[in-house]
Amino acid sequence: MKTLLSKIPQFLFFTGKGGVGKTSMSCAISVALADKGKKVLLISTDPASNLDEVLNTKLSSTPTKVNEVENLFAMNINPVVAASEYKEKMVGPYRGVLPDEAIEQMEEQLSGACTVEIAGFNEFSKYVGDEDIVSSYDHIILDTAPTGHTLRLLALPSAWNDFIADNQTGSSCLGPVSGLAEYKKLYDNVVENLKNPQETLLILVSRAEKLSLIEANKASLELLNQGMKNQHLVINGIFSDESEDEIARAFSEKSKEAIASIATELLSLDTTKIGFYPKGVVGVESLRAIINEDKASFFEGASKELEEQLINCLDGVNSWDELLESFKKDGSGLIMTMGKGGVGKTTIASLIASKLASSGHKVTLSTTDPAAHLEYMSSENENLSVEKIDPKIETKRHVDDVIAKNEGKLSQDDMALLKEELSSPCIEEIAIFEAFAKTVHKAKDRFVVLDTAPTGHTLLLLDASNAYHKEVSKNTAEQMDEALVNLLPRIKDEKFTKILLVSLAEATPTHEAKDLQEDLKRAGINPYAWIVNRSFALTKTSNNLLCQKGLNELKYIDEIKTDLSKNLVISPWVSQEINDEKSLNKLI
Amino acid sequence: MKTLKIYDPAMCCPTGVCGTDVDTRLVQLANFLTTLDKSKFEVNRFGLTTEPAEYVANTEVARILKEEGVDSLPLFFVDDELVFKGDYPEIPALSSKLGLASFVAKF
Repeated sequence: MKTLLSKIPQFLFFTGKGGVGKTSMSCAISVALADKGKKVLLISTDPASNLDEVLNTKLSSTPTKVNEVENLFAMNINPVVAASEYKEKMVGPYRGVLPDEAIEQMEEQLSGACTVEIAGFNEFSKYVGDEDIVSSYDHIILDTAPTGHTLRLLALPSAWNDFIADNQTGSSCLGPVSGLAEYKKLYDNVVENLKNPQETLLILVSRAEKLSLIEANKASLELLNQGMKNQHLVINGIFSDESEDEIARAFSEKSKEAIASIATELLSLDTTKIGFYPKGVVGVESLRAIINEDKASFFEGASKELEEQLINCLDGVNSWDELLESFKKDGSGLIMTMGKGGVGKTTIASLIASKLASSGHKVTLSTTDPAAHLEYMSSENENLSVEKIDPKIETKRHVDDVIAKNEGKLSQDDMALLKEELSSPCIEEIAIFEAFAKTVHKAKDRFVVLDTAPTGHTLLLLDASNAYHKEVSKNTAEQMDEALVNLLPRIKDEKFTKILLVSLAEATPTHEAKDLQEDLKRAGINPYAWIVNRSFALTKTSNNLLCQKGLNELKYIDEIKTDLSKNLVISPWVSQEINDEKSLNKLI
Repeated sequence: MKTLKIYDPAMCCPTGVCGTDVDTRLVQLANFLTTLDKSKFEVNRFGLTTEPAEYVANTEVARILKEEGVDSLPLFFVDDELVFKGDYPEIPALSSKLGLASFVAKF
C-alpha cells in the first residue's frame, strides 16, 4: 500500500466489476493522500454510489469538503441522471408536438446502457478536461474508468460524423448521443490524458476469487490495447484463517487458490493485497485502517447475535421447496436466471434443472458459461438433457453474418464503425438469444432452464427490429425465423416464462439486480423471484469475521424482502466445488 | 438542381446492427446517395431522434405524422413532392423519380 501511494500521478482511475470494492479502495486512497497534505478531489460516477455513507458526508454534484478529513473534497456524478437529462433535452421540446408514438420511440432509442455510459463519460470529462478544476487539485480520483468499448468508439473518426446525413451504418451506441458531438475536443483531451503514464494511473480492483481475477485480466488487456499502460492491481478481500471452523478454512483455501491462478499478464503488474473486512468499509476510521493494513476487528458475540437476528430476518423468506413446487405445478415452461457476472447464475439454474428432473419432469438445461462442467447432470438423470451455447462462437457467427452482408458496400471508415458497433455488449446478448430461440421453442411440453436472460433494453430492441422486419418481409419474401418471432411473446408471457434474479447479499450486487429488475419492468416483464446466493449468514459458521459478514448480509436480505420482491429464496455459501447432484443439494 | 429529402423513422440503428439482421436495402440506399452527383442533387436525410425539429418544421411531414402515425415513415420528397411513403424504395424506383431512368445500381 505504501508503494502504491508513493507513485500516484495527478489522475487516478479505478476499474472492476460491480461489488469488487472500487468505492472502498478509491475512498481509502483519497483519505491517505489527503492525510499526506495533498489536495484531493474524489468523483464517483456510480449511479448507486454510496460515497456519502462511506465518507459520512452529505455530497452533491459539486465538490464538497469531506467531514473529518482536511484537503479532501468529493462529489457524485450520476450517469443515469445525466443520461435522462440529456434525453429530456432532446425529447422534451417535442412532447405534444410530435405524435406520442414518435416520442416513445425517441425515448427508447435514448434509453440504452450505451447512452448512460457515454453520458457518464461526458460528465466526468467536464472535470478531467477543465483546466481550472484540474489545476486546483493535486489529485483527481475517479472511482470508475471508461470501458475499452467507450474508448475505441471515441477514437473512431466515423463516430463523430453526422450520423444521419453522412453515415448510414447506424450506431447503437454513439448514434443516440451524437448530440454530444460538441464535446469532441474535450474528449480528445481527456483520452490523451488517460494514455499518459505521467498523468494517469489505472487501478484494477478484483476480489480474491478466480472469476473476478479473470475479469480483471480481461479489462487490463483491453485498456492496455487502448493505450492505458500505467496499471496497478489491487486484490481485495483476502481471507486467511487457520482455525478449526470448516467454513472459515474452506473460504481461506479458496482465496489462496484464486491468487495462485492469476494469469501471467496480470502477474506482471504491481500488486497491492487487501485483507477481508466483513462489514464493508464505512467511515473514515475504517478507511485509515485499510491504509495501515490493520486486521478487521473481532467483536464479542457476533455468532450469537447472528443466530438471534437471523430468525426474524428469515421470516417471510420462501424455501427452495416452495419455489420448486410452484414451478412443478405448471408442468412445463421456461425458467431463466439473470444477474451480473459471478453471482452464480449457472449453479442456480443447474440446481433447479436437477430438482425438476429428479421429480420426473422432462428438463433441458442450457448454459452459456463455457467453463461450466455439467456433464455429470445428464449422466445421473435420464429426464435431463444439457445443451451448451458458447457466447463467443454465437457472437462471431452473428458478426460475420452482418459483415459479410455489408462487404464491399461500405467505406473503410464506415466498416470500422460497423465492426466497433458489433462489439457492443448488446450484440452478444442478441446473438445468444438467436441461439436460445430454438431451445426455448421446446419449452411447450417440458421445462427449459437457461442461465441467462435478456435485459429489458435488448427485448425492446429485438421487438422493434422484429416489427420492422415483418414490414420488410412482406415485400421481399424474406423469411423470418419462426422461433425468433415467437421468442418475444413467449418471454413476455408470465405463464410460460419465469425470470429469477440472482444476487448476493451485498450493497452493489443488490443494487445492480434492482436496476436489472427496473429495466425488465420497462419492457413489461416482472421477475418471478429473487435468489440470494452464497449467504454466509446461513452457513452456521462460528468464525467471528464470517459471522460479522453474515450480520451485514441481513440488511440487504431485509431490503430485498421488503422493497424488491415478495418471492425471495436464499442459498448458503458452500465450501465444496459443485460437481455432482449431491453437492447441489447443499444449496437448499 | 433537384432536392431529395428523406425523413427516416426512429431507428436505433438504420441497418439493424443491434437487431437480428442488417437490412441490405438501407445500405444500398446509403451507397446510392453517396454516388449522386452533388452538383445536380441536394440530399437531406433526417432522423427522428436526432433531428425532430425537421419533422415539425416541414408542415407536410408534420401533417402526415399526425394523421397517419409513425408507420407512415420513411417519407421521400423530390422537390417537395411526396414520392415514397411508409417503406424504402428499391434503387431503380428511386432513381427514376430523380429522373435517372438509366441509372444502373452499382450493387
